[in-house]
Amino acid sequence: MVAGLIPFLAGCTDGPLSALAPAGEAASEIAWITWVMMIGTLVLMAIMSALGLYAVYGRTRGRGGPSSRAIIGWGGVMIPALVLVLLLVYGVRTGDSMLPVGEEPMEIRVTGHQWWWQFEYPGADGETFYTANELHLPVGRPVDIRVESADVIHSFWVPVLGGKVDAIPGRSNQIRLRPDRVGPYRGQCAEFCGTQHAHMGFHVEVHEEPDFEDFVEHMTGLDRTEAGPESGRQAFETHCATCHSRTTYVDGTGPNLASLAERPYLGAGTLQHTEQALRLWIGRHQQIKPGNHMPDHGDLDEETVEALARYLEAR
Amino acid sequence: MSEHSSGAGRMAADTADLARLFSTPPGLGRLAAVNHSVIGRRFILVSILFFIIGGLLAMLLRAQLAIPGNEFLDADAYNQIFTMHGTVMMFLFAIPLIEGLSLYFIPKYLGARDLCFPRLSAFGFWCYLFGGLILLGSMLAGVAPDSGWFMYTPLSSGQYSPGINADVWLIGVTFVEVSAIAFGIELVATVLKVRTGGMSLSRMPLFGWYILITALMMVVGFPPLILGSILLEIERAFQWPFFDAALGGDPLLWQHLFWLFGHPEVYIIFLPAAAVVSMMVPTFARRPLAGYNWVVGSVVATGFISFGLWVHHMFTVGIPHLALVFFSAASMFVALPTAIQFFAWLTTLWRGRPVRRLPMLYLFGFLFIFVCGGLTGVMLALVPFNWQAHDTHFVVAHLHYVLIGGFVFPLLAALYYWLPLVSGRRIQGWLGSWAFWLIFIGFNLTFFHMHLTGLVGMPRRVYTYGEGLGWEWLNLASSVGGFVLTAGFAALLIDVVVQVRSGQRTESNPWNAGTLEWAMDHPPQVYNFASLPKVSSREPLWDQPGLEEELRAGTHYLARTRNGWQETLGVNPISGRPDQIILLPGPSYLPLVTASMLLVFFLGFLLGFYWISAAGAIAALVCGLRWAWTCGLDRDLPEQDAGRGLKLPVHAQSPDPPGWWGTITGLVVNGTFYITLLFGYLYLWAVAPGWPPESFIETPPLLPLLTGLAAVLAAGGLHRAVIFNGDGRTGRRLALVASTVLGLVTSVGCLWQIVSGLPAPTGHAYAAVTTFLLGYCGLHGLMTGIIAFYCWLRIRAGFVSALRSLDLRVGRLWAMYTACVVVVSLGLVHTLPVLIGASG
Repeated sequence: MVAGLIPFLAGCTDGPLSALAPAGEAASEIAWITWVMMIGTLVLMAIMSALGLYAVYGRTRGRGGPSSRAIIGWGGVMIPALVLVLLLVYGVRTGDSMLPVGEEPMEIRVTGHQWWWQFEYPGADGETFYTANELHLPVGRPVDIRVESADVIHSFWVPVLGGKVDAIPGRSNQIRLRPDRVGPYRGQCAEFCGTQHAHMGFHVEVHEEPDFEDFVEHMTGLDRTEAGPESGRQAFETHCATCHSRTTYVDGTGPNLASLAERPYLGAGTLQHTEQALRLWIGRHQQIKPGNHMPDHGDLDEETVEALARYLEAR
Repeated sequence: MSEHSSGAGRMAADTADLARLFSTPPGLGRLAAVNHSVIGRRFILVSILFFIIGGLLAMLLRAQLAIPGNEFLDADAYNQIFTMHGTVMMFLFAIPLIEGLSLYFIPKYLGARDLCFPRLSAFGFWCYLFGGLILLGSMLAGVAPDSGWFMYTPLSSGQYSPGINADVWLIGVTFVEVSAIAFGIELVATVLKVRTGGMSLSRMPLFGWYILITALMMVVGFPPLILGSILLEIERAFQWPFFDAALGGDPLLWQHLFWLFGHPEVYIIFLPAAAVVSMMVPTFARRPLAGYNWVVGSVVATGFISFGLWVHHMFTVGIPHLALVFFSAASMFVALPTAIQFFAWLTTLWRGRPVRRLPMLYLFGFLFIFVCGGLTGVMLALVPFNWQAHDTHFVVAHLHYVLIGGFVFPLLAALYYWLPLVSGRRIQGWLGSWAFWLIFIGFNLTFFHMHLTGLVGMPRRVYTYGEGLGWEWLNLASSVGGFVLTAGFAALLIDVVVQVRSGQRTESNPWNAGTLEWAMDHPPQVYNFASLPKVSSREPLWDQPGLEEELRAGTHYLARTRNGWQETLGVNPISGRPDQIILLPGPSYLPLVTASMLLVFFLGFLLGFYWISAAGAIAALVCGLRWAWTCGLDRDLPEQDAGRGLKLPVHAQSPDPPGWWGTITGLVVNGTFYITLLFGYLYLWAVAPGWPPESFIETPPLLPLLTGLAAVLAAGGLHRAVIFNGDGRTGRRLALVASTVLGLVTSVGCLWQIVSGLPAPTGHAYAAVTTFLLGYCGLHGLMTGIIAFYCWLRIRAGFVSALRSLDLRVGRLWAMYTACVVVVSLGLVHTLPVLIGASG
């Protein structure tokens, strides 16, 4: 019965956020542990239930068999202790192997905000560049993610690549990820962080090494302040520029929008990025993601929204 | 009422008088009720009402999550509802239900007529009710707490939760915790002191052991949360930055304080449930429990280990891996004591001749579900797995397996088990079994695959989710399961109401159990036992045939009434030899009045009327002293006849009265609070970012030295008073006057150091936490002065003699404790800046 469950379960375990469909080293090891322990749990549940039924319905009862002390001692202490010691050793060794120690790979800084993510990369020219709600990684080499918070506690989590680590004000945490499969994935804030915790996702793109180099090259020093229609630029200056930047080398209190045109999602994973969705988002984001910290733009006329959208989509 | 074989009417117990003395007045007089059965029933009923409320909240949550992108609830409503679901179930259902159950049954198991401090448990009930109503009221007003039931800072701090919502949580829950502390003190003292003759520790039913350990865990487990709540409320109200990383505080301090309470809490809930299992299993196996000593040992071990694994809720906050290993190991090995209990129950069933009755069905549900919850707990203890599963629906599934499996199922079994005793009605099975299967299937349909929901990436506490993430069917199935589960609980409720209202009268001891509660009438009389049994075994009803008739006939202890006293036996805690007659207080409005004053204090604080709040606190203190004044005797009495040829002193003249044990337990609460405070103080020094502060405390060196000296001398004065009183010498009043003055001097000394030596507490966590620590010392100095003066008044009014010395001894203990904390605190406050500050 247990063996029959595995393929069934495996069918349910796909998905862009599934810890059981790993695409990275740490996640693979943890997925392996998970399967071992889940099967172990099912087996032990079956054994305990069988013992319970036997204790009540069993025919051979009463005097014979081992002493009460022997049953309690072996069943309650010795056997579980042995299993737990083995599990503990296994867990400690696996956990140790995931720690960010030894080599010093590229470091990407992630800052959690209510309710979006800022990513800060070392650029091609030695300067840093910023982007928001999209994490790009090279396949096959380790990357250290430095996780910090700008306001409350968040938790950085890309289930297909590895475990989570909290973003805590006043602290700086680190996690090492090593993707081993190219593809689009997803990350999500795991620690409850207020009204829009549910809409605090980010897009993850694992590239082949040359593609990743291209990405870094492209983003380094990218300046789209002058791109797009002039009316859009003016509207952006009026309504958006206090918080948002159109250059990748300046951060802001709101998400960096220099590379918005290339992003597959809007509003920290809230909407799929389409022409229509962008216009909807600009005008009605307080209805789509109520309580987010961007001022309501419901009063913008259609023309301005259109100009803004064109400006933001300009490459 | 009853006849006895000897035929002499003189031998029958005074049941009519007993009933009159122990009864609760009618009408408004019910507000003065203190009887443990009445208070216990009230706790149980109110907690069940909160269970229904919490369950309805859960239905709203499941309705919202049934389909992706649902617009049934908006984010604000969802966040309030999930926060309240957790808060209601933990603080307003589980803990109070345990309290009610213990208050109701402990005296019945221990062969006593009441608890040792009946008014204290009545007080606890009012605190629970008021705190619960504050939380409930906030929900009706739409301003319920919305930061999650563990209230992580800084999300719950003033900057990110500016509304009243978080204050409601901190104040409502703290009010409810007052009742948990009252319960802890009550039950530790009762289990140790208030048993029947012959009930040594080793003959005590396991129920007593479990509740003793649970009460001790509450005594040590709740202070960290109370401290955390006070600090956070002060931060919110007055901007003292305990948890603000920008000003030398640390949000992780909150997590440590919360989980220092929060993990033991899980065992505080589980142990009483295991206790009722340990009482039912022998009854249905028809033999004593196998491995009594093993079980006692494992319960004690659980109590200890459960305080060493709080960090497993914090594996992702960035604590070094090596440190995590310790907590990982502790979290795994806490499974062993539970495994021991399981095998003890299984062995008992296997060795016995089990009868399969309705409660057994629920016990099977418990076995299956709780084993699953325990095993997923072991999974979560494994650090790398935890990094993935933490904060996902896997944890939601796990905790419901543990709490519903390990708490609700055993208590449903217990409900059917004890229904004949409490209601006097016979149990009839069929609807109860239907309810079981609905609950069991509904539960697993809700939560079994929810483990998977978490592993495929669904975080907890999201009010909505998108399509295409692979979560649709999993969530829909859980929502359907939730409704089946609810139908099961509804069926159970109907079944119980019908049976209680119209069931046939039950025969006596229908399950043929061996423990004392079944020796009472069904339903029990208000005085429990007509005479208190002399027991010689763990299962007196199996080993002492005819005991029930003897008790009714009054051939055991305290069958007679006199002087209008409500009496029960006090025993030596180890041997169970009777050593005093405890005179119990009758109905009183003091608990209600005192709790109402606390309500003024808490509500004033909640609404920002701090002067009203202060007035409420002073009024509560005055009520407390007035209450203390009603204890004790104003004259020495000869030893009294206790039955069976025994002559015993009344408790006021015993060297070892329950009040003494209550005082010690209360000081353990206070001491735990203080040690946690020191932990916080040192933690901020060592770990928090933004240290050292710009400036440290600066006072003339003589000031702390004199303050410490005053505290020590105040204790010395009370010590002399106790000695003089014991020797019958004069001078005890003079010593008390000196202590009064010295206590006040201590208080002023601490205040002076705050005012003259410290920067403003709003500037840096250093100044905030040092002010709090010195404030704690100052408050204790003030209380020493008040208590010494109170003792002086008590002597003047004739309540103190060489035999009746409890007031003075309690005062001395308090003053000694105060001296210790003042000396330690002042030492730390003034030496740490020199030792660490200079090097940093």
